[in-house]
Parts: sequence; C-alpha cells; structure tokens
Amino acid sequence: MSEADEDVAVPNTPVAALIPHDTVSGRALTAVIAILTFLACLCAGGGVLLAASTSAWRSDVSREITIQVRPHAGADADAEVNKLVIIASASPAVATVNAMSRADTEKSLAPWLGAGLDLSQLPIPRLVVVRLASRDPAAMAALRAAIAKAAPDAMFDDHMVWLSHLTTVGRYMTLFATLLFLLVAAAIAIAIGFATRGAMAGAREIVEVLHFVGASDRFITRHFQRYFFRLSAEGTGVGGAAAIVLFLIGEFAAARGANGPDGVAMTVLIGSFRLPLVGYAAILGVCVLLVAMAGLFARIVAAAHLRALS
Amino acid sequence: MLRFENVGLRYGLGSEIIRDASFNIAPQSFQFLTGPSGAGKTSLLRLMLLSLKPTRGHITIFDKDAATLDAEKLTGVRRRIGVVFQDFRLLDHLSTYDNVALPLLVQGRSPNAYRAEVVELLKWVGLGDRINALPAVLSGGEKQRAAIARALIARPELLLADEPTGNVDPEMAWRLLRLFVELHKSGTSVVIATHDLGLMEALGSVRKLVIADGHVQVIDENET
Repeated sequence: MSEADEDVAVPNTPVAALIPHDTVSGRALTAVIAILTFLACLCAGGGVLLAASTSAWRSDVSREITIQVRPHAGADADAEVNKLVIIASASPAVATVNAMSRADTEKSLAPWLGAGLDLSQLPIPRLVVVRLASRDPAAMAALRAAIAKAAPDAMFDDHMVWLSHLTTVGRYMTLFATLLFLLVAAAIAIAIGFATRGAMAGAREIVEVLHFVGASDRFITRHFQRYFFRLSAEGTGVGGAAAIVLFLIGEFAAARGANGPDGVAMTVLIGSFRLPLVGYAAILGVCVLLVAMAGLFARIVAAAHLRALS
Repeated sequence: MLRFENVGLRYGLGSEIIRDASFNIAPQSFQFLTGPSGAGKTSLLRLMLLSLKPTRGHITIFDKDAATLDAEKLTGVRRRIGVVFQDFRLLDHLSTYDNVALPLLVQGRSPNAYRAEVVELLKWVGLGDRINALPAVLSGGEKQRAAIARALIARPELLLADEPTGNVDPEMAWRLLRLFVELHKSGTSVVIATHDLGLMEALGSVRKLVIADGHVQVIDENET
C-alpha cells in the first residue's frame, strides 16, 4: 500500500457501478423479467411434464395388446380363451398373458352398469390381455395370423390407432408449450430492447461524459450489457425459483392426495404429477438462456444506439 | 497539434456563431480563450473537443483530419485531451475518487495501479478529505476541483478548460492556475476559456484567442 492510501479510505471497486443500478426503472424491469421468466419456466416444465406423461402412456399402451373373444350362441368361450392363451404364450414377442375370467369381466363393467346386477344372461365378450416383451413386427404379424386362424371372430387390438392419436396429441401439446415459451422469450427480448433504449436515453449524460473521458463504444456497451445482465440475472433467478417452488408444491400436493379418489382419477387420466430431473434442468436452462439473451439484446441495442449517436 | 482552417459553426438554421475561425494550437503552448459571455467560447471548445462538427471549414487534430475520424480513432484522440466543463459534468452516482479515476478506468488500467496516483492528485487539489463524497454533497468549488483533477489525471497532451476558476475563491483560482502552468511546463498544451481579466493578467503576456461577433482573433505579444 502506498503512502497516499494510508490515511484515506479509498473504495476498492469503482468498476461495477458506472451505470446506476438501484433505479425505479431497473427494479420495474427486474419484476417484469421475473414474471416473464416464471411463465417461460412453467411452459418449459409443463412441456417436460407433458412429454414424460405421454411417453409413459405410450409406453404402457404400446407394451400391451388385447384380444377380444365375442360371445356366440353355443360356443364355449372358456375353451376359446384357453386356446388363445396357449397360442399367445407360445409367441416370442409375448411376456405374459392374462385371460380375464367372466367374473373379472363382469366386475369391470360394474362402474358403468351398477353393482348387484345379474349379468349371467348377457352376452359379455371375454378379454385376453397380452403383455409384450417386444414389438418385433415379424413376431407380431405371426401372432396376429395365428390368432386369426384359431379364432376368426376374435378381435386383435394392438392399440396402434390409439397410440397414433396419443402421439399426435402429445406432439401438439409439446409444440404448444414450445410456442408459448418462444412468445415469452420474445416478450423478454422486446422488454430488454425497450429498457436498454430507455436506460441509454436516461443515461445520456453518463454516455456523453464517458465519451469525453475517452471511453470507447465497446467499453460503454460492455457496461450497459453488464448492467442488464445483472438485472436479468436477478429477475430470472426470482422467476425460475418461483417456478421450481410451484412444481415442488404441485408434486407434494399430488403425492399427498394420490391415494384419495380424486388423486386416483387424476393419476389414471394424466399420470403422476412429478417433474423429472430433466424438467428442473430445463428450468435452469431457460433461466441461463434468458439471461444470456437479455445480455446479448442489451449489447446489440446499446451498440446500435451509440452508432446512431455518432 | 490542433489547427482550425476557415471553420464555421451554426446551430440548425440559425446564423453562424463562429465564422472563418483559423488558428493553431501548438504543442506545449499555453493560451486563454476569451470573449464576452455568449460569444461562443464553449462552442469553440466543443469544436476543439470534436463533440461538435463544424458546418464548414477544416479541423486537424494530432495530424489527423477530424472529418475522417471513425469512432475508434476519435476515442484515441479524446484520450489525449483533458477537458474541464463549465458545468463540471461529474457523474452523480460515483464518488469523487471514482469520478477522477474515470479516464484511467476507461483506458483499461487496473484500479490498483492508479489508486495512489488518484489519491495524490485529489490531495493536491484539496479534496483529500472528500474522496468518498458524492458530487451532490460537494460545494461548487469542490466540484470544480474534482472536474479539473479528472481532466488532469491521464496527463493529457491537450487540456481544454471552460471557466475552470469560475466557482473557486481567488486563492484556489491562483493555485489551480499554477497547476495548469505546471502542466503546461511538463509538455501539455493548455487552452483556458475565461472572461476573468485578473486571471489572464496574472500570467502576463500569454497568447490569447479572442472571440467576438463570431470571429476569432489571435493575440500573441510574444510573436511580434
């Protein structure tokens, strides 16, 4: 330390504060960025959650086929079902075969027809649920042919139509989430652009003085970029953290109510509300991306503003 | 160092406030720029600083044609010029120390490298006890001295000062004038805009640029 420093307290880091930080417009912009980031993170997290759910549905449905044995007068349904179980079990593509008994089938109709009814006189189709080990096309074709030959009236349903609809719906929903995310990102970019122009107009005297003392446009641009980088980091930090907390609360609430009637119905309909780790990574990625984007936009707008000034 | 040839300046569609100004600022020279209030002293200084473009004529600075300077070269030129504004132009959110250190900071020098230098200059201009004060709490004279320190800190080749002693007492004015003279002796060309006759007389026969009715007249008793 030099002699000059010994009797005066000199600030150590004057570099960071060339553009004043704690301003009303700065705080307002931080709040806007926080809200938009929160929405962007909900889109990203929601998209991942949706993709995970549809993937689970697709996986469940695609691993299963159903053979329906229609009732015929005089036909022995049990014998036909047993025959189909033997044929299906022999296929290399099949993991397990479960033939639903007449009692099980009647039980499964109870939610629609009501309990306590005598259904013995009704012609109720019988179901054979086949769990697949693989979807090998050749093995599947052979299984389909063997079932058609053994029971021409049996209906072989590999759920491909449903799977195709599910895939399409999942794809559209993911696309929608992506579109929403892009819209929010564009809104942030526009907000940053306007804020940069406003900040530069407000800091006109600062820019002028910096020019007069020999600051290059690059130096000034870098400081404006740093300023907006910091603002957006604060905003995205708050927005991203809020989104993560919301997903954790959702997960906690879903886990608590999972065993109740509503929880079961929700789980059956939309799967479990549990954001996978990749979802949290996506939220962090969105925050990093938005901060980088804000910094880049601030730099571009500030550079253009300085070019216009000169 | 700085040459004006038939330079004219007008704001918008108004009449010319500077007409056919032709003069030189030689290296290591000392001169006053004087004239009545509103005569155009500040405008002439701004032309010298290249913050205004002349509406006609030709300005050469450090052997470069001012009209052809791009942003990068203009920055290089400005780093060789120190300027003291009449209204100080200190940044309100920065401390006195940070304001004075600004020209060194923008040159990319490390704060550790210039700390002692800045403190020493601040002490010299009598602001040793105001280092951490913000401009809002400085008196007019203190702001003036901080602005002068900022202009001097990077040891410019050309110093332009607009009424640099306008807000200080005679004793401090004399002290600051001595500082400018010392700076001039160390090789800096100095242009001081003032209408303080006492200040000009204090230095005896110094070159003067007198602006009146838009015309610049050079009075240099040493040349004749």
